[in-house]
Amino acid sequence: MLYEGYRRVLRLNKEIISDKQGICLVTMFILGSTLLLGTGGGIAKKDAWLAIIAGMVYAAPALYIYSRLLSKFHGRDLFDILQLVFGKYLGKIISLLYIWFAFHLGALVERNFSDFTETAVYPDTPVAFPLIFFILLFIWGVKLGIENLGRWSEFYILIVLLLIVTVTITLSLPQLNFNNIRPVFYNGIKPILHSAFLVFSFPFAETVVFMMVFSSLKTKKSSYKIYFTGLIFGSIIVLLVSFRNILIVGADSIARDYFPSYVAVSAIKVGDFIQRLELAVSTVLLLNVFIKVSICLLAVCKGLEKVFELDDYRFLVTPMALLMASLSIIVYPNIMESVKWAFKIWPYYAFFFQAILPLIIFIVAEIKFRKII
Amino acid sequence: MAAFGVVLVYSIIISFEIYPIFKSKKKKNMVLYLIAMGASFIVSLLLSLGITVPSPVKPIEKFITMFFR
Repeated sequence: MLYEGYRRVLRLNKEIISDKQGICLVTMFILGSTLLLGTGGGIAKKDAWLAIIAGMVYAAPALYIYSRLLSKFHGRDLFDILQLVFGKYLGKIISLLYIWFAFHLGALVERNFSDFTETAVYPDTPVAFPLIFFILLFIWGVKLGIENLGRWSEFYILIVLLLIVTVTITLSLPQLNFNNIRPVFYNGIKPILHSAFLVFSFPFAETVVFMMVFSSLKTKKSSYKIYFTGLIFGSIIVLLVSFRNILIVGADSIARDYFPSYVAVSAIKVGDFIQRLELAVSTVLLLNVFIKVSICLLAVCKGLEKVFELDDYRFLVTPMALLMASLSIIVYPNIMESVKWAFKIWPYYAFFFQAILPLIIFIVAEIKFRKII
Repeated sequence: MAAFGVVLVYSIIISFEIYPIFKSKKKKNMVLYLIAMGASFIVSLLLSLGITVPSPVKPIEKFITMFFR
């Protein structure tokens, strides 16, 4: 039936995504829930934009390691690489750790989404209800595979760009107050570097998840192109949005609010008829969260396929999606805990998966497989 | 009432999805599917009955705060 159809498609043609689709996926993944929650946790205050630039510089070596590994073992994903580099048993144990990381990340993003719907959009609706409809889409998208998600993102990134750049940023020009970012370097360099570390681990280096799904790139050079172009596009948009938020509502208010973009955009008012543009923020959030959670779910299912040596991952999608949604509900008791986790605990916990483990894999792979370029 | 809905929805989903797996005659797929589905069914049922399930990330939080605070 439908399931058999998926398998027939799989056997006939191997899934391949083009560089452009890959770039769109990485960009939308970086935007993810970042545009809503903001980055850096309000530590750098007025210099948050400097922290984003510094975070991008921090992220470049990490992304070089990811793309180097993907290009060295072209056509394989992280789980294959782990089993090649560390052998069968140790490789599978580290694979399970990475599966947990992707699973947890997906649950956190779903949690941010349901926090948003609960506090800002539908205060009286049960949390699980908007989530149920979203989960159906995740299951559908992931069952169709990475190629489909790639094509989807290629189209919808245009809507994201249209809504962010042309609508909210252009229309907010009258509201901008440039005194909000002056004086630069007022609190010294230390908060900027700390905030840059948070920026590194919250949107940019989370792209480590793509190592688990990009086994279908076109050429050996694609991974560098996809990762770095995606990083540059993503950080330019994050930078523009963060500028807009600081310039409209000011640094103190950003540190206080849970959803700074929502507050900043609701201040937009052109004449008497263009106002209440928060809808743009919600739409952008929905589109980006769809890509981010789908990629995490795909990574979880592909990892289980490799660890348990199955022939297809598609039958595991539904139970994993439901389990991820359950985890997203039980993971924190309230929104305060969730924001505390995102900025105080997640960066240190994720650093292990984003920088330390890839570095170890990279060094061992370079020594063990010296002959493969 | 919510618990009844959970049972209903899960039985519909399982009845849709289990037939192709059963037909493919792969025992490993069947066992994995039932374990994963069972775990998520138990958590959803507990949530719908209003029982607080302990968060699985608490140990991680304790571990991190031990080193970085």
